[in-house]
Amino acid sequence: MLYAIFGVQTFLQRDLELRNLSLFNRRKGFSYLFQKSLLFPFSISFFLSQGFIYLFLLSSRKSSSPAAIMSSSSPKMITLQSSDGETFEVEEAVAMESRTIKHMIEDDCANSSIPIPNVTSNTLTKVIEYCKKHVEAKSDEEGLKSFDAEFMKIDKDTLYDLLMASNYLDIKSLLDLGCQTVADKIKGKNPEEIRKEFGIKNDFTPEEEEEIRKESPWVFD
Amino acid sequence: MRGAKNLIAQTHKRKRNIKQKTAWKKQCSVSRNHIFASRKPEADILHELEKEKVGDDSAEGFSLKASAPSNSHGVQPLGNLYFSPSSHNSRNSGLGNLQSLTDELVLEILGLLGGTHLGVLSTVSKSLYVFCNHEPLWRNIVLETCKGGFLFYETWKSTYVSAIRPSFEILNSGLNVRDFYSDYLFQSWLCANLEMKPEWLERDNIVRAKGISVEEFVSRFEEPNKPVLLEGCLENWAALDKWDRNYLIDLCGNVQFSVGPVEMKLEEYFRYSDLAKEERPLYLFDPRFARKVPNLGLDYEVPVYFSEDLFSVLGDERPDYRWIIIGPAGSGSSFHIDPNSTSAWNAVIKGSKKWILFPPDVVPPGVHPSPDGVEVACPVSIIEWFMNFYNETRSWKKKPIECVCKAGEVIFVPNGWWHLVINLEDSIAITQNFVSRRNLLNVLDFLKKPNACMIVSGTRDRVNLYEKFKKAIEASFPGIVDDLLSKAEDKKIQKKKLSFWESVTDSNAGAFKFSF
Repeated sequence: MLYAIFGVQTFLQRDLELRNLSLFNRRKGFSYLFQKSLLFPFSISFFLSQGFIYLFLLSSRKSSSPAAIMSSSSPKMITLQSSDGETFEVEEAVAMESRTIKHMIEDDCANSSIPIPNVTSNTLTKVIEYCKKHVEAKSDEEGLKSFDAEFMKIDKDTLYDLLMASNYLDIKSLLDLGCQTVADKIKGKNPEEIRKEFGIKNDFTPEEEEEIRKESPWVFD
Repeated sequence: MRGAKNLIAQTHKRKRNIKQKTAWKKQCSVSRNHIFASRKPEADILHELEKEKVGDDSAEGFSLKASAPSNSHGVQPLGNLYFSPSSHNSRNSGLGNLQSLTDELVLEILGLLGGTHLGVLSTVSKSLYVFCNHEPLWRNIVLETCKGGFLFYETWKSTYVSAIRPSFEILNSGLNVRDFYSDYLFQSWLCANLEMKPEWLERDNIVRAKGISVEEFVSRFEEPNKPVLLEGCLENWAALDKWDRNYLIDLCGNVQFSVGPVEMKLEEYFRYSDLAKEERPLYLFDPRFARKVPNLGLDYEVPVYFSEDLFSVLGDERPDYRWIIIGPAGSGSSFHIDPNSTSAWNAVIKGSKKWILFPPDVVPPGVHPSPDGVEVACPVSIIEWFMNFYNETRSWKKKPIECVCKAGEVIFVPNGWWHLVINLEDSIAITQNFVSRRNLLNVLDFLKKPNACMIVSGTRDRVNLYEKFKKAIEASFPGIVDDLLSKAEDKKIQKKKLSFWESVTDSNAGAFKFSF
């Protein structure tokens, strides 16, 4: 940019000198001036256009959707980094399933990789798998239902990690799905079965058990 | 070069704000019809409670309501864990492999269970007993299954049990569970049983007026859009003398009034409001009270200052405009701006209300409106806002407008102002929203916004309201809109002229800058 301005300055100087010269050559003065003055705006416009291109590039860097201006064919990729340092490249539409990431993209904080400190790479892989499927097959309700059912056939630790991740990343559908899965594990079981399912030790004394029995009419039906 | 550096600095600043914003949004959002929401990060509460333990005795802790149950099953805040000798938290051992989940997530899962399953789960372990007795869970179950036809019995759980098993003799043993530490559940109990601190009620900086003329009201308050407390304009209201519980119950009988998500009879509502000890009590807020019981509408009349009511040109198609408000102490409305850019007046017939108002361009602390104005994220209960955010305003130069509005007084809420109301005792009030010449242009602008279908309220026909209103106004008051527009233009030109003149003659404005 500075180079361009410098160029303009020197050119201006030269032109002034040329104009001075032309005063002596009055006869051909006008045509001489005319020739030189044609070059002057041309050069000015050349340098100005350089400046415009520079400003254009500057503004496109600032704008939140450079993909639209720079490249129209390939979708924008977002880089996510799990807590154990692994990076994942996902399409913007898939990443936007997470409202947390969506807000970051909208506020223009997603230009380098987004760190997700609470989520390990295993969990993040599953999350991305879920989001991808839900973006691809958006209108296929039946297909999504069966996918969700299969998707939830995971061990408990993964399920809880998924729940925490979807809570942090604010992915409502995955959160609801996970919560419903856990709730379904509770429904229909008696207390002993629930304890077995979740690895809970009964810490009531017999007297306390007697007390709480009086509060809940359904328990010993 | 300098430009690039600024860009980087800007990005860093924005990143910080985003993290804060997202954290707050997660913590405070009132979404999904859940009465409970995430709370402040545990570290903050720990710090706060530590401060209180260490701090001076005069400001020690909070004063609890006299009616507070002596225990909340013994739930203690997480900070207390550090003072316990064993540092064993029965919350974790009692949840088994669910313990890695946060309290909010556990409650979210429990919220998907019906009454029976919740009851069974409460006998599994002490920790689950505490979780399953979390009142908001039972409240949701009662409201979904019984709608408004329930008889309240001390707690929501008892209410549910008595509704489905009338023969079962309920005994609220209230088992005390030791070693249970949880910030979320403790905060929930605390907010339900807290008294309003006297220092929260101290500031009273609203302008009061008595017996002023309508012109004075318009020029001093309505035109410049400033709130005011008007005294002595309800003197001819029959309601002030007649309205008490017995009269209302006799008059209304079995009529169902709108209470939150359900409809209830007045007598049953009073039974609930006497017994309930909640963070966010159900509030009776009915927009069709005058249609349901016409005599109620006859017992009051609109104060003379607010007689111009331009939405009346729409007749029956007008959006909701008047409400009867009945609620116990602790009930109220958290921060919001009134719908459709209308102004409002609120007259207290019985009881008293604490008001806090912020001007339109000042967002109250702890409140996060979405960019399009459709959603507002804020603390769940009003007491929680007072606990966590009220003190922030003390250091501000321009303080919010506050007052306590007592029986017989009317407060004028100008359009666009943020306001929060909390009942200090059992209260009955009437409120109306209105459009006068002064805010007609604002209302028209609001109604024709592109996202009208989401932000317009009080009517089913949101998108067409603008067209209908415009037509009706032109029919009843031809030329009024153009008249107001030209007056507004004149004012703008006046303002511009003034400011130019001021800058030219004012020597502090700086030298005339030469610029291309």
